[in-house]
Amino acid sequence: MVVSAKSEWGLFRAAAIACAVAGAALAVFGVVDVGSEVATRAVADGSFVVFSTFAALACFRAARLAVVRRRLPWWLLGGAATCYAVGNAIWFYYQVLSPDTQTFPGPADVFFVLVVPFAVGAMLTLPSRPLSPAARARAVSDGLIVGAALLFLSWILVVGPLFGQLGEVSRTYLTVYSYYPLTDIVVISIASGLAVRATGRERLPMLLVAAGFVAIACADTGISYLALQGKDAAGSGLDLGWTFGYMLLGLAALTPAWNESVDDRVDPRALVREVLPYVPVGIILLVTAFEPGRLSDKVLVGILAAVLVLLVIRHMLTLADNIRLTGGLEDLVRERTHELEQLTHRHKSILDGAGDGIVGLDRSGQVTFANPAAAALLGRSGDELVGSSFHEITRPRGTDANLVPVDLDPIAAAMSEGQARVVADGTFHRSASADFPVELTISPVGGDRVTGAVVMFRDVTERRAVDRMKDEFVSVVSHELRTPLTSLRGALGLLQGGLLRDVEPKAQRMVHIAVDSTDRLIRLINDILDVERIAAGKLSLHREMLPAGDLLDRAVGEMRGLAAQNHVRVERGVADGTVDADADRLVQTVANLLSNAIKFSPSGGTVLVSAVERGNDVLFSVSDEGVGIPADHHEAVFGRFAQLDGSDTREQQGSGLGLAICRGIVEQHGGRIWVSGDSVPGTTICFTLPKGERAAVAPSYDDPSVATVLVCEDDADTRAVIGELLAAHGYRVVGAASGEEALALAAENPPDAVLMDLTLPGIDGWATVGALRSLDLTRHVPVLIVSGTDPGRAPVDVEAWLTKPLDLSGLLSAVGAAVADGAARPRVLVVEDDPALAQVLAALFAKHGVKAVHASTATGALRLSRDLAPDLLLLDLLLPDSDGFALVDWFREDPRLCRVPLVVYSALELDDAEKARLRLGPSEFFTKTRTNPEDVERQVMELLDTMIVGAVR
Amino acid sequence: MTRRVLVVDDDDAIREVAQMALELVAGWKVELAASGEEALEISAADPPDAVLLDVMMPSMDGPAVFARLQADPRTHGVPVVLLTAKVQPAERRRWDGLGVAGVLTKPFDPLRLAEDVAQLLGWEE
Repeated sequence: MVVSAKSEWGLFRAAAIACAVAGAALAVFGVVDVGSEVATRAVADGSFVVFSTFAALACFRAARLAVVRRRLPWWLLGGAATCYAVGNAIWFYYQVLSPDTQTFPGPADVFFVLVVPFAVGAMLTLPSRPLSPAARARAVSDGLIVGAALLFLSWILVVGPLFGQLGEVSRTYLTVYSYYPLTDIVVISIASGLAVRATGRERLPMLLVAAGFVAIACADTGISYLALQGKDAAGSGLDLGWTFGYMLLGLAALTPAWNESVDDRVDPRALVREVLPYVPVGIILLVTAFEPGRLSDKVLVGILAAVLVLLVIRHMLTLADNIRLTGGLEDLVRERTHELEQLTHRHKSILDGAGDGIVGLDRSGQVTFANPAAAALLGRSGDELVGSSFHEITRPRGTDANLVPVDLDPIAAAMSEGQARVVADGTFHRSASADFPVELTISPVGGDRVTGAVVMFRDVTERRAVDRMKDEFVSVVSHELRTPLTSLRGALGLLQGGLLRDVEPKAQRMVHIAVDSTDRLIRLINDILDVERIAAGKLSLHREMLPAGDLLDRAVGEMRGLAAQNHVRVERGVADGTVDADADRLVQTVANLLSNAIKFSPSGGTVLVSAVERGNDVLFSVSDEGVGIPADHHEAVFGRFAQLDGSDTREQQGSGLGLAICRGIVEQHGGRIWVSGDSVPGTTICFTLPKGERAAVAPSYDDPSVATVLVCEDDADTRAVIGELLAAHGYRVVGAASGEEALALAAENPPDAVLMDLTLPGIDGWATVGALRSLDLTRHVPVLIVSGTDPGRAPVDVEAWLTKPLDLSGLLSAVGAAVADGAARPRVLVVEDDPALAQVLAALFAKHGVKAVHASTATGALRLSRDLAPDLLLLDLLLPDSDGFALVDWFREDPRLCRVPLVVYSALELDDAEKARLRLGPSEFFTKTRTNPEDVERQVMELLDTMIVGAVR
Repeated sequence: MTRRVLVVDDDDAIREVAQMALELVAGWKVELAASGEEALEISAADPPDAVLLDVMMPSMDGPAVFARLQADPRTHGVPVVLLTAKVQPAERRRWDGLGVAGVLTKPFDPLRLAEDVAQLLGWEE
């Protein structure tokens, strides 16, 4: 029950005012000696009864209102107040109504004696913070110490001398009349001890209670004092002490109940509280020190001894408390450590049991941990992995099957961007075994300041195989399906065309249906093939710069027939911008959108198509005036086989895949396609494509006149600086961080020049140069040494020696000279799977300073020829992965390579037809059994000479 | 003078439909060959005005036949149009450099076949 703040204190205030008024009245009454002695006594004793009853009632009320837990202290206090009330009533009876029969001690005293246990009990249970038994004991001992000290002092000052004077007084008399003040001292001590400990709203009631007992104690002590001196105290001002005491107890009970949670913060006064008991002790000791004679009094000695014992007890209680706390803490720590160990163990089990390889890398790409699966996949032990460079161990390759240089490693990129990445088509190297295809997930860790990454990877050999099988299946099946469809379509078309004998109308109708269905089937097969390829990400795009206007015109042209058929007008609006895209696919997309728009337009309606430049994109839109697409279908229409509802499909006859294919094509170009929300009624579909602006900065791979420089330098910053400088001057730069990496990269794609730092981890610069010289492929590549020292020994010839710190313009001119040198040397691509023969040929060519680049497979030859436009192709026809014909076909397809002189050196005897198929530039054909290598060499040189003289590179 | 076209395809039905289509629509005289070898024999004996050549055939494929035709002086200048069920642009571009007059896709619309062929060959029909 929520009581408003005002009413909470209202009762208290009212009672306080009433008590104050009454008290003042009584005081006045006491001072002004009005009426007889009996009247005075009656008023005084009556006020005792009234106010002690008031206190009892207030306490019982508080007990009823309080939360269950807090009821006890009020019951107890109420009990104490009731004893006072009953005792006072009896006292009143005897004093006022039957004064002659009063005895001492009398029945009233019984009740007064009973007050003490109730009061002490109330004190001990009053604090709302549940005191631990230790704290409770301490509170009691503190109270006792203070009480004993007060007793000591009062004995010295008052009671002792008094007792000395009263030799003949009865023992009972003495006991009873000293009982009250002594017990009062105890109660006050405890109350004050607790009052000091109280915090917040607890404080007021506790202080009132303590004050109440102090008042009562004063009255008791005063009465005892007077009684021992033989005086009667009734009617004296001491009466007020009791009255006020009862009033204060009642007011304490009337303070609004505190139900709020106790403030558990450390009480700043805790220190004061701990020190407080020592103050009276200190006083005692001081007094003893100054008046050592007192010690002869046995009582005083007894009290002093008691105080000392209490102090010791208190100290031991504190000690016990501390030990308990410490023990508790240690247990807690033990428990937490155990929990932590369990957690770590569980995590380790998870990592150990994982089927995927999981490695942790630090910022520089070194492995910090690797789970057993990772070690197994990479063919190394866990210890080998930790601490090594992940890039070096895995030798990752990209989709083009080339080694990925460390600067372009997606792991490094992910860490520097702080963004997670998935690489779906990578290749890793298994130690002492082959490469295997991987899918990896890179997760940088560390939040804003990336401290490393966790890389999860798995072997996807099987999945790749399955994907390949699926692709082949789809391709073969779609091809197989087309063959019977061809005759079906053909026969039906002829029937429908009316070129054969006229068919009667009903049969004509049937044929019409058959033709339409066949057309639908054909479209469906095409679409399925497209969708599968898009889903596999294998849509091959042949990109070129296309003006948007041309695209739109072609698409509109294709749709002219359909538009006329549906009586719909197609309007081409503004067409700005140029995109870098596959023409056929884009026209297919726009035509598809137009076809939908036409089909869904009302007869006589207009379809609008346009293209505008918008920021970095070109925005295409196709709008119709048809029924529109409800907002909740805007996403769903791009899904496979999504038709709005079945009702209009017969009219529309779509395959349901058109928009899905459009989305696939647009997204693969890096654009977005969506249903625009603002054309109502009707539908507008928009898509964006990035503008076709080729970055003019980096030289493209395809340009054969661009020279490649391999920079082998282990310091990443130096490598970056040199690389940027060379790239800015039009070179293509490949970076390597170690000799081994440089060798691997150079063996794949021989560069036009190599910049070699001498100090490298692993094999040093000299050893690397030596290795380069020993490979045919790289023998003639000019090497420029970069070193911190001046030229010392030079076991192999180098183009130039550059000292650190590098003079950048000197570097540029040296590289330029080296490349120019190399460029003058003709390059022959030798495609021969017999390594012995290949070596022989290479050596023969090397004699003439001709760079022989060797590939033993057709795929390898393709890769090499992409980056390194050869001046002549020496081709064996029987290759492991293909016949030479396919390779020649590929070459013919490339504008750079279609005029390359071709020398076929094969075991096959070729007839004219085959020779015709192998045409590139000027061609010569030799059979291995008939012609020896030296003759081939001669012919090749002749060809090269004629070519160089009249060459256009 | 009536144009003479040689249609080469290993599938009987397709041969027949193609013949029908070209004869009925354009009025050309159509000869048939079921294989590359047969086609070469026929053309060598009496070179046609054009050859409609299927790509996927068992023993000798379209391009091979074309190469042979080009190699033989008698049939050297005969224009060839390839016919294929393969639709992937990458594969089709392989034949661009061959020197054929064009490539048509299967399935075709029989009523438009003659027009498409004529367009590729530059015939005005």
